[in-house]
Amino acid sequence: MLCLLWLATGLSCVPAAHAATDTMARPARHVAPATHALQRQPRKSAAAEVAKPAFAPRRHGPVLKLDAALEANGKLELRCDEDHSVVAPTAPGDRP
Amino acid sequence: MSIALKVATAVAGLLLALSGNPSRAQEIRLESGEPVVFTLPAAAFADGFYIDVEDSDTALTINLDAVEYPEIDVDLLVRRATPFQFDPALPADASALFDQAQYRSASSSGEETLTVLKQGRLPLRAGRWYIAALNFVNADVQVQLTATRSQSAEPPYVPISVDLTGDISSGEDSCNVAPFNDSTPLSPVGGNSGTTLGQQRRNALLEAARLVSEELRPTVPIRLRACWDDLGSGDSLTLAQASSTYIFLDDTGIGSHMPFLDERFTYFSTPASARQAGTSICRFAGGPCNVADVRAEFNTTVDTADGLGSRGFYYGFDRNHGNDIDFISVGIHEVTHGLGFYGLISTGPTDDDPDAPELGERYSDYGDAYDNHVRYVSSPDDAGMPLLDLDVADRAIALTSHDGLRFAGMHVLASPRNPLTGNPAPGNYAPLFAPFVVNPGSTLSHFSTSLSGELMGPYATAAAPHTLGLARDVLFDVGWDPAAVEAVESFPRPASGIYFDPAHSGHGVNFLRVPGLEDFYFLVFYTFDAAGKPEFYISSGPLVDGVFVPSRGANGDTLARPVYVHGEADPNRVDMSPGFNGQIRLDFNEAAKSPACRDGYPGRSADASQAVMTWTINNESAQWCLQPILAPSVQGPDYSNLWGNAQDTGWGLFTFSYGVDEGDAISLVIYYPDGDGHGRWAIQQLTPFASGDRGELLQVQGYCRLCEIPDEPLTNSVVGEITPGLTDPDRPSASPDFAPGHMAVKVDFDGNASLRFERDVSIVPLVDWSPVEDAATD
Repeated sequence: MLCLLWLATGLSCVPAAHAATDTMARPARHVAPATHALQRQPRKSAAAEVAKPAFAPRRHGPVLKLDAALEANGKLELRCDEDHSVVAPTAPGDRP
Repeated sequence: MSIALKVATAVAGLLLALSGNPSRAQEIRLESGEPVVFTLPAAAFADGFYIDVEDSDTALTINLDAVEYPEIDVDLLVRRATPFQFDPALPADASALFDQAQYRSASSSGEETLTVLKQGRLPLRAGRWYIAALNFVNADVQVQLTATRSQSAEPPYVPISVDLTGDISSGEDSCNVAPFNDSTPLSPVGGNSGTTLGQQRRNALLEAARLVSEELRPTVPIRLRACWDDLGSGDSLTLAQASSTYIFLDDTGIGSHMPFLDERFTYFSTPASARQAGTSICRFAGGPCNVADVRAEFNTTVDTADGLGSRGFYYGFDRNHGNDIDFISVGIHEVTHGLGFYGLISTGPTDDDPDAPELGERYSDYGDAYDNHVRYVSSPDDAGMPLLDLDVADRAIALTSHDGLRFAGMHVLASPRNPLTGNPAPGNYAPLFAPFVVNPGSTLSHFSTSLSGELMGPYATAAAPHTLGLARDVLFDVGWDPAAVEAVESFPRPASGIYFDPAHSGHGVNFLRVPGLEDFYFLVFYTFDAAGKPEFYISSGPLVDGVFVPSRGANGDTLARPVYVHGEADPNRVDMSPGFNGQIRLDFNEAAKSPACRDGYPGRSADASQAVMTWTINNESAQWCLQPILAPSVQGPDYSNLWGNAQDTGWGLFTFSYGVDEGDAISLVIYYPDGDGHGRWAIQQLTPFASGDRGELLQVQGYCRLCEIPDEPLTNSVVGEITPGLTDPDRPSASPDFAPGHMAVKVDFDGNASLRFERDVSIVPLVDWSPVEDAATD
């Protein structure tokens, strides 16, 4: 059994209460699983490639800005600003 | 002939390919930590792997690597308890497989990995976990698959990494990293040992990332991309800006099925999504793996005389910034926004963004992890209303209420960092910034100034905090603590029935369980064409984790348009023309959170029986909020079913029994081909009903699918007659006293006798109408 945790006393080596993963490399086992064909592009498409599922269009998160203004009295004022223009509108059913 | 085949042929003969439950021909058990190597043929997949997880396991890590060719695109899909479902006799639809995966690693590379923890909506639980490996290239590839169980008491800790190299992927904005290599000599300052300006900048940013990491303890790789740019000069400028690179949500209808996220139909930041996915952004969302989770930009002019005069960034670690601007505090503040500290409600147009929606309008119809916890409290004894449930005008009032805008997430309410903890609600809600005059960018997405000294206040202060403070609890509430999420205990398994959307009444679906197959359904979408004439479409497939996941047919459609070829020995076809496109998904999970169900339309059931139907027919597409038609119980036999004749296919009789004062009544829908072979339907209600009663058939004049529901009731006309002789469907067909029913029908589409459909035949019930229980996840 691997010795994974030392008690605070440092006097003894004890197994972890929940033994951690044995990360020692093990030899690979060669197997021959049953395999199945993936559907190619729909028949009505001209392409004949296997298509990876298209993920939904990505939407950017809002950009949060930290602005600074040097006032006439020498005081530095910092405040946030926000830009949502990159957040695209929702399009239900929009499966690309 | 199988019962499934009977169902299919009774309507359109579409399920001929069905051969029953997929056989699990060859399953390979994985031993923890022991790799297996195998060849994945070109454009193929292997789904037969599994590993058995025990209660004591705290993490399961699965790796799939394309041996020697890490650039080859292979993907990894994982689900618990039940295998992936597909028809082994046909090429499998990759989209349907992805929609069954509870976890996935699907980057564009050949190095896939994910880790499932005992947290989140679909936590690691004892039992069998199934693994599928997919090869998307047209060449055989040797892959290595390893599944490793861990019993470590501590979850993995992966500190936030900072990309100082400007490594970007295609389509991303350029990233200037030259200021990180500025060779201007400087003396070490405040614990920052750098001796050049560039070194000090790098050290300070790395320190900011370290401080955030120590508080949040990320369990997956989170990548912060830091760049410099000219963000303005003079006495008023932008110091820095940051964002979550993307926002993600779980909605299978729009091709974004991410069941690992904490909630359905809810936006999460990229890093929070990654944490819940158990893998990095490129692996759960696809694409190249040099995409950042959080992007931050700092202003190059601040350290010059062109920006803020003699003031500049202070790069020390000790917060002793004097009149300068504490870079680490600015960095932590901005990164915290990028981690998920932001709302998605407009604070109104500005000079910089004149096209922004009006104050209070939402940027998305979906909820988001932050705004879901925000409430408007109008008086001290008011528990508050969810901000997203208010209309635009009331949200505008809330956003300018000074002290009424509150954050009420579970972690914030219980946090020792919340000075209001211990007060009765709503006194313990954390106030958010909501000045009487809206302050774009600061309103909503910051704490109120009444919470002094907070990192995420609207104004930077001399304190320049280097800790997250109460923002840590907000981040935990917006997706950074899956341990707090309630695990799904069971998935919905709807009974056979009629489902409809009150906002589109007249259209609807018969969603019918196929007997003899586990959670396999047949669907009829009855609707109207552009001219308001009745028509129907059909689909079939498994219900997986509460989602109807039909596979695409050879023509690419999951929703088929039946075509009946009169005079042919085998008359049942589907529209295979390139011009037809039909797609459908039904999701019975958490539908009440969907935009379709939150539209406020009167008559919605607002309970767990709702479903979101996403459909596409040609160039029309929409999401509808379905609910079942519930009717009083019958006193006599319940004739509810779909009836047909196995020797004469291409039509069907749907029956729905319900109780009335006079006894029992019945609704009838005859699905039939018109003279052109197009699927049509006609209806009748017989009250009271006894088997053998005769009734007229009515053709409803409806309205198109994307049209508003008419104010006036739909009209109808007599187009035929029907005499159904029904037998009790509960009586098994194998029993000695079973007798088939009988139906005499004639119906003329549009009243045109030349297009008459006529039958006088025996009929039998085809679907399972019995009640079902939800599927436990254990």
